[in-house]
Amino acid sequence: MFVASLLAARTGPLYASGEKASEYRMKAAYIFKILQFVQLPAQTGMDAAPRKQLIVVGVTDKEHVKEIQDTIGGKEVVYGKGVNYRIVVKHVTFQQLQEAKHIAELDVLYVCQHTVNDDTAKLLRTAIENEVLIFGDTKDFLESGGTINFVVKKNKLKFEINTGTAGQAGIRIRSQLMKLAVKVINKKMKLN
Amino acid sequence: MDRFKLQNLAIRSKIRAIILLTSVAALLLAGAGFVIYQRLTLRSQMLRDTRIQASIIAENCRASLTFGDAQDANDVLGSLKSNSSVVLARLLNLEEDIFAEYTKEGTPEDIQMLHCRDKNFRFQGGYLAVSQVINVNGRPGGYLHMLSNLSQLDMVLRQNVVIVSILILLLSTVAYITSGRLEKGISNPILRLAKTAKGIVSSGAYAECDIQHGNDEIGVLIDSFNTMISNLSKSTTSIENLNAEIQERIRTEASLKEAKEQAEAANIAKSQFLANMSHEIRTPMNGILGMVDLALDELGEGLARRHLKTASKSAKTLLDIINDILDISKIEAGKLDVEIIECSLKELLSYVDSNLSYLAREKEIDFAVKLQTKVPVEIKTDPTRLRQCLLNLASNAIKFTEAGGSVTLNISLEDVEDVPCLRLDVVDTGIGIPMEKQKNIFGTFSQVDASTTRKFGGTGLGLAITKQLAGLLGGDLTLESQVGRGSTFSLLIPVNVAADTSDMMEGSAWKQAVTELTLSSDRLSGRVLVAEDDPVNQVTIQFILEKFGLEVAIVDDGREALDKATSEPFDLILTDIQMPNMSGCEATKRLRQQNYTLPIIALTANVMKEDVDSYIAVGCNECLHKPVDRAQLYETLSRYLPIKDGTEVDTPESSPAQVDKTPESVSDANTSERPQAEAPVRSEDDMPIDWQDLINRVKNEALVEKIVAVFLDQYPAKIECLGQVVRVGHADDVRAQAHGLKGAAASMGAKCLSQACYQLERAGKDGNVQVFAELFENIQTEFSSLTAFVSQDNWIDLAKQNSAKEHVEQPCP
Repeated sequence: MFVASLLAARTGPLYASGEKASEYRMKAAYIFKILQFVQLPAQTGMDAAPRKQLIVVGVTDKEHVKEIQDTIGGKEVVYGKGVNYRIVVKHVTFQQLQEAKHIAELDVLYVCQHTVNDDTAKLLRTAIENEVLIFGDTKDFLESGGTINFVVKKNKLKFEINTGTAGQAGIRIRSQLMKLAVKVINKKMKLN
Repeated sequence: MDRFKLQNLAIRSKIRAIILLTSVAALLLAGAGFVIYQRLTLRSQMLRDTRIQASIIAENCRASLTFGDAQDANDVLGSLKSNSSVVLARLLNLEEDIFAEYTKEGTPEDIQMLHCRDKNFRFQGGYLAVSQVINVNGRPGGYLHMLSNLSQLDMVLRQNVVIVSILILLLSTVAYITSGRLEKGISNPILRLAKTAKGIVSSGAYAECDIQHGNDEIGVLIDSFNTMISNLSKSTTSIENLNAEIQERIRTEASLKEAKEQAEAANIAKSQFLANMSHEIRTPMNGILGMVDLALDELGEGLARRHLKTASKSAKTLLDIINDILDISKIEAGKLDVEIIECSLKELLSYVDSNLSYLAREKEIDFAVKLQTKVPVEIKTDPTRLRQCLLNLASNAIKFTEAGGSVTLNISLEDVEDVPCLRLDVVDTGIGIPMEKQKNIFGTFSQVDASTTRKFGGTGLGLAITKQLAGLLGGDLTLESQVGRGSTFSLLIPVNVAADTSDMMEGSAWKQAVTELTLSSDRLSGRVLVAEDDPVNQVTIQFILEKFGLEVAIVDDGREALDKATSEPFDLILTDIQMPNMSGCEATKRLRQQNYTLPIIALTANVMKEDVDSYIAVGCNECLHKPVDRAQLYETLSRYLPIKDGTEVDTPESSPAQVDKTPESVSDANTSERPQAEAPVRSEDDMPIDWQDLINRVKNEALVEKIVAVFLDQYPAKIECLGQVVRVGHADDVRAQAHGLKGAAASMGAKCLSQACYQLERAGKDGNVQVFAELFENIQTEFSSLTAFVSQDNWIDLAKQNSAKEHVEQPCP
């Protein structure tokens, strides 16, 4: 059902073809802003000795990787005085994500709507287990195991939050962000 | 108004005012400080609170700003509603466009946000503005501005001011009440003390203050006051005793002063008496001397003669002493005047030299006059007094110098404080004066010691007189002396002439006086009227004047002189004073009243200063004394009449001896005020005629003979006439006739006759009729003696011989 719904959602695109590029740029910008209000497991204890200096964003849609890369690649998220994390954008396939090493190097995974398939639910559970913040833009994405889902309301880009998966992935989302979300649910996934 | 000044307030009010003012001032300061502090604190607190609130709001708006959610931002700002102070809040994006805004209800629409980005806050116009930067991803992403109303804060402050004011009022009241109770502890003792002091002042009774007090300053004050009162009481008693003592002393002093004044008055009266009585004292002395000398003439050798000689010597010594005493009395009585006139230093020195050389020779002492520097030929001083000083000093020096010693008169010119002065040092090699006696040596009646008096004699007045005279002359007399080595008396007197413009002399130039005068060939020209009643004098004066080259007209009295002077032209008038019909004074007075301007010179035997002054007062230009001194006459006339060159040289000669014989200088230099009649008394070797005097004055033996001839021709009758008036006993006639005879006798050098006539004249003046006959007898005796002498063919030779023997005459009464 989930897959069907995901696919259905994929059939009703929000924007016309010419506007797709700007849509992904806007979503990339939202990812960048949202990252300012979340704390990834990788940044725990960042003030003392951050484990990483990079935030690796994996994008499943090869077609729009470049736009996202152009929008937020190389930007830095500031978590405190002198503690900056540079964003690295890379394309990942579902096959690659099957491998532990590929999923393990990611901090953020953006599952674009037209790349959703039957394996997506499984993949999302793996990603949660690997403490990855999962973005998506598909109907009922949160129920499938996603953490933050982009929606368009009144021709404006909005987002929904599942605090259940965020908690399972060890990710803390600030209340201000949740206040801005159009929907906040708390649904945990059954993990392997 | 004055009573409200602090210093005029009662001590009680003062203390209360001080306490109250101090308290109120302190409370006001404290209250003001509290209000100011609270205002600062409240503002600071408000700023802090506002900033915290702004920080919270800013943080809550960050996500809204990040995602551009204005609705959410407005919601957040809306939460400020709970803070009633905040009236305006604005959220601005980075471009400073208003992103969200909150305005309190009821806030005026035109309210402006204060800009305070420079320091993040600002208090202005009753508002506090706070600005807060909102960071997005580590960079400024927008701004939050908040404006709070301060009205609540001001209200709190006003409430505090009211509370503080009420507190101040309450505390001041407490202070006033407390001060009223406390000040009594200070003011009560002081008031009591003041009351006690006032009581002492009003009653005069010294009562102590009986207040119980502690040991503080007021206690000390009361103790001190009581001690002071006690001491004052004792002091008053002492002062009263002292006052009584002082009063007694004042009375004693007053009586002493009175006694002193009486003593001084008596001393002055004594001096004045002595000064006034000088003639009266001298006259009997002259009488004694004259009589003794007459007796000596008549006595042969024997015991009586030796006794009389001793008496004569003693009388002369006594006369010297009397003269000294009279001089000092005159000085003390202030009756001794000095007359500063131009005079010849040459003549003065010659006189001193000639007078003292003889004395020195007698004692075998070297005497010399030496000019040490150039000195003026003429100086201005009183020549009589200066001569007296020098004679005193030098004769003293000779007296106290033993045989073989020397006395020198050193003269030099020196400037004393830019005043040219003549220094006359009398240096001797005598016995000297001990240092301790030197300071008293110029005192009256002072000699070195009693033995000196015994050995050398004298009154001890000479130096005192000289010192006083030196002072009167404007100078001083000083002494330097060493015992056994001699003394130097230095007389310093101002010369009163400019040294650079005067004729100067040096070396032995002073000795040339005679030569100069002798060589002078100047003659006078002019017509002179002579008023003289005495034939001898007429002949003498006429002869002398003609020899001067003058044309002479003689009249017998003042009336004729008056007529002649107004009817004929004359260049000068010489007039006797005492003349029959009209006196010289009267004639002069009338001539001057008729604006007669030509010179009139008085010629008289009365040369007392007051007499001379009276002649000058009626119009005489000068006064010359009789008997006429030729040199003096020439000198005087030459000042009024033109001088012409003449071949016949018969100008007057002058010599020290001749100067010596002028009546003014006879005996000593102090005789200018003595009548001429106090002339030398004949000693046993004296001649009836003093040839030297006579010839020195008239300078011509022919004239002498002529005078004597007239005298012998005219005077027996005059003597006879005098005898008649003596017998009649008419004092005025006796005086007038004796006066005439006196002048004539003096003119022909018959000094003893002249003196005898003077004594009769004095007796006539005094109305002393009893002695007329006796004195007339003296005159007769003298006249007989004179007649007998000049009747001899060779009387001139005899007179000359006798004169040669007598270099210095003895002082004569």
